[in-house]
Amino acid sequence: MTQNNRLQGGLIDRSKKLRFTFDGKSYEGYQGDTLASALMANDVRLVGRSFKYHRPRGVLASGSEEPNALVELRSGNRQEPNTRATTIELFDGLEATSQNRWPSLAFDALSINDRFSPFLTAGFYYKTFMWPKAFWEKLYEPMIRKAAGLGRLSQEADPDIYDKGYLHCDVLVIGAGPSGLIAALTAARSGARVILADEDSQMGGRLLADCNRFEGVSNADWVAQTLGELASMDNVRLLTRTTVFGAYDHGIHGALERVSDHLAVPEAGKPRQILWRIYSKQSVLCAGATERPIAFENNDRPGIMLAGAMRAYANRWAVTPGKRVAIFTNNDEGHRAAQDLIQAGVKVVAVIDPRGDAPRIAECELLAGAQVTDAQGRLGLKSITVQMADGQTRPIEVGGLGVSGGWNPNVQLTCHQRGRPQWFEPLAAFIPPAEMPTGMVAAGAAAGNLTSFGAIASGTNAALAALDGLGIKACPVDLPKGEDNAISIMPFWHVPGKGRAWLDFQNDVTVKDVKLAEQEGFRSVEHLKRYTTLGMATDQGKTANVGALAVMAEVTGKSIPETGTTIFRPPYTPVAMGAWAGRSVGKEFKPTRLTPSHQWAEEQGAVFVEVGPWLRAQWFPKAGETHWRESVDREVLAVRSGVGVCDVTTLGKIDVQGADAAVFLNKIYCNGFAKLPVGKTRYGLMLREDGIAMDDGTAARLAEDNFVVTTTTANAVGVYRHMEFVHQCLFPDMDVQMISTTDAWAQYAIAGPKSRELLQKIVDDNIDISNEGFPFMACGEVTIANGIPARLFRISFSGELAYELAVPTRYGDALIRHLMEVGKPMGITPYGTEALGVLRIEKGHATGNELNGTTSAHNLGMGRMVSTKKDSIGSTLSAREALSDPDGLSLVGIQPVNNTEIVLAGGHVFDENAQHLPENDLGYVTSAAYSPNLSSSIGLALVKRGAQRLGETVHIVSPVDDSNIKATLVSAHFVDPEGERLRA
Amino acid sequence: MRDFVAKTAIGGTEPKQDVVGTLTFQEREDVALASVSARPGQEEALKTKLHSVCGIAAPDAGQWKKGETSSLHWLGPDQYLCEEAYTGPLELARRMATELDGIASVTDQSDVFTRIDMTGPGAIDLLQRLTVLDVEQMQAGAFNRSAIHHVGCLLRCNEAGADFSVYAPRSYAISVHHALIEVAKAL
Repeated sequence: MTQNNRLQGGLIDRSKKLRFTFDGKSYEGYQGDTLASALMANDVRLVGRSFKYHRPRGVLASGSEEPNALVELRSGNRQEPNTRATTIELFDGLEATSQNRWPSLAFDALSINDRFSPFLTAGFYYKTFMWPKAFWEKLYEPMIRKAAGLGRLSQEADPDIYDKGYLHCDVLVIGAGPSGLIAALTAARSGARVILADEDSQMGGRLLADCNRFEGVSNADWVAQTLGELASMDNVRLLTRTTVFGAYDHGIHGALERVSDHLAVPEAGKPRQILWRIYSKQSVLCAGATERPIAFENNDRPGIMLAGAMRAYANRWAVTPGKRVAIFTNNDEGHRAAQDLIQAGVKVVAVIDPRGDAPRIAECELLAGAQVTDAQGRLGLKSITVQMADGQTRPIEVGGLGVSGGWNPNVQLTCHQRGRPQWFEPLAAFIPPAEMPTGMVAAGAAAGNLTSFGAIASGTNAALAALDGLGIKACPVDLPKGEDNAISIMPFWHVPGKGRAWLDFQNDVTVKDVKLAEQEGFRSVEHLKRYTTLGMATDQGKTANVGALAVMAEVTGKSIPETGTTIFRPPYTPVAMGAWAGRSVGKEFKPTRLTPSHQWAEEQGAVFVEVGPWLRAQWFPKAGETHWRESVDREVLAVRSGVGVCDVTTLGKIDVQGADAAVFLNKIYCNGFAKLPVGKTRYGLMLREDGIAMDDGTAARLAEDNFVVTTTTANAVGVYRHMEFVHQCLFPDMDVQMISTTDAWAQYAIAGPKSRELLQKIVDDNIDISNEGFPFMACGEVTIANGIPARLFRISFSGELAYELAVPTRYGDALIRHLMEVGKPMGITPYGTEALGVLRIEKGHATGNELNGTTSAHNLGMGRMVSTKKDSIGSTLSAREALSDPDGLSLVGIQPVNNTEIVLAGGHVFDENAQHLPENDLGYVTSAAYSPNLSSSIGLALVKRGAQRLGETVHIVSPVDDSNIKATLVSAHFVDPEGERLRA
Repeated sequence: MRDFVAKTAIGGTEPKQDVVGTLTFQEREDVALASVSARPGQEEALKTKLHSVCGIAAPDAGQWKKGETSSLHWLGPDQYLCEEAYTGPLELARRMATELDGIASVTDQSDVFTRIDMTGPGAIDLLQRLTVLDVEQMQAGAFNRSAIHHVGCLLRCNEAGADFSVYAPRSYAISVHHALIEVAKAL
């Protein structure tokens, strides 16, 4: 395939030919091409179908504002829908496919929608498909979704890496056109730390797209010279292929760097994109301006594009949409585009300008006072119809039409913090708001300075303002002389006519649609947007919004500034979900905390469970066990009859020291701690300020002024934060210091009637751990293995004779191996969190399921623990009637009448003869397990007046599981209610 | 005690070393850490005592100081992290507690954090992908808290641009180390 539409010159590398396919057909382009320019070079003008009417569409723009030329890029798991052909850098082997068409791009069966367009106007779906109601979900919606839409997802996992990062600078310059380059140079020469970011693969902005704009130096030389200097400076970071997509509070900007998008596949291990968070003290917005079209009948024919884009294709990429083209413009820039095109060797047959006094700038026919009223060529422009100044019409044969309705400064980032742009009559466009985001200055075309000299002058001035804000003395920069003629424009938004004239190409919104919205009362711009879908989707109406506002202003009789704009929100251009996620995907969604025995547990074949960030052994299957219950039952029975060991390192540990440590804990816990003797541990319950139970655990007094507080695994951080709050804000004068030691100690629960026998072989010889020497709730520092310091606590979660032994974490692996070796003759059994749960339910110990943020101490059967002899956090409010109501919920045990039936957590409790209605609800099951000791399913439940109902038969009903079992309310202490075992 | 083999945080019996491109990552199991927190009214006394015990002045906020055998890091108001060569479990904390009796509360932190040293060109590029801190501006002597891979860590600058230490919570050490290595591969 020859590149028929390729011109001479351009910034492409003709020595590097690249092959690519579009809809399966093979083409050639050059290094430096975009997919759009390469298609244009190969005379491919039809590149897509429109969203609703499936109208044939071609390339409209040359940058990220492109609404039409959206393709599916790549294939397989790297397939990416809705990718703009105008920003895709060509690479060898590139595969692109057109979207939203069937069976082919040239013949699309759903283009029949276009024939039915009178029935499919704006808001049609709000008025139709209303009946029958049931059809919406099953028929109408799927049908509409199939008929209208953009590209398809591959439904496969993205194989690429996305990184995130953080950058800091004094001055962030957004956009590297003439104003951005000079702003960066001004700031950098003055010593400021500068980041210059541009969404393009090459810096230079419009200087790459227009003919020479400066005196005595070509655009290319000036850009190269400026960039060369910037690149040589240590205080400058140049970010190409990087879109600053959002401006947030405090000078924070979001930016997406497309590191590998221009490659077929990223280099091994390298990211495809990086999402940067840039912290800037000052920012200079030099994002340029976007040209807008003029609406006229059939102005969406493939081959009709923005005049500035046509100019860019000719100058930068050396391509033209056709051998013969025309320009339709209401401003001088359109004439300059014609001038550039002629210089590039394109035949410009006419410049059509509705201004009667249009200047003659280009060496071609000028049709002043004329306007284009129609275009012909369904799959590619063939001719246009021009209404001359005298009212006559004239057909003109062209393969391309460049349209310029003026330029809209890219003000989006100046409005991300709810700024409202201001109308600037000389340009007939919105410019940045008077009140800019703190630290932001706009320059160049983004600020409405469309001339070359105006752009660089405002760029350097903006940098000077930024430097002033930073207190940096500025170094002057010599500015090249450039053209500085004010741009003359006559606002001209659409050509009157009966046919459909397109405003928003991406969403198929026409002038008629805007008028219809007004007729139906959707006059506010925000309503107009929602009713017509104007300005939505990937381009966010960059080429469409102002034109549509102008039409709305026209029909409502208001001015454009009175009509206003919709709110601009980030992102400026689309950001892939993968980039937002970064590396937090799959197994690396979040970091994992490992226990000291993790490696050993893996060797045992343990099954692990996520407990917050921790991975804990859930059970340890043995050979021959085919169901988890077999393993768990075995582990539970082993603890009750022999000895078991469980890694409990995950419980939070807080070292509390200071002369007021005991007084402080007396405030934190609702029960008394002030008189706890040294060498003793006490169970403690913490309440929230509102009296609800917050967390429970133990506090061990190692010295007069030193406690170790333990928390539940889940609340370790929350409790520490709470304690810091209480100290810093409520009792700052107390002599208390605390620090987390959760990671410092590997801690194992050693439980069961043989636990003392085992421990006697673990602790060093001189340590007395007899019942008398180390009674229930004792604690102390010991040594093991001939001198390793350790801490021993005689506490029990299982209800058995039990201890917790802690060693410095680096010895945790050695300790578990040692325990297992020494305990072998006693039948030591490791147990996991599942058995831990069964043991505590059998014993009636509350945990997170019961301390669920709604329960009081009274509900949990611990009402009497709330000391009335002292003031503690939450004690006053825990006395509220609702929290201490004797008829309220209280914790009980439940056991099925038929022990083959299973109690499920979450089931609701009803009187035996009551209807299962909310008003008869007595409470709910909080925890459930199978007890191998009782050979029955058991549970804990919060039941109204539960303590008084023991022995009653109730129904446990779960609509979720569709279950209903008969059960007896019993004591929550299924095992050893007198507590003899743990004191043995 | 001879039979009990200490494990490093990344799970080996020897500290882990990795070389990725120009960067070298070295796990350091050979350092002891102890937190020191002034008792009320003893703030200045603590600074004076620390100077005499550690041979260096207490650092200011966001700083650390290196002495001949001890280093001191600012952890919070009147709170410091002392680092020395590891000589045995709890030994540093016990010695410091004796020295600072009545002046400060001391808690062993040797196994709370795992130190991973990162040296070589590219350290800045690596850390810019991992921490919100302005690492380009960090000079030798800077010491800050920062989330790295969602984990609350401490970051120390030993030499501007080229030598940093990350202190990661021990239980997260494998995750943080993994993140460092994988991001280093992506530079």
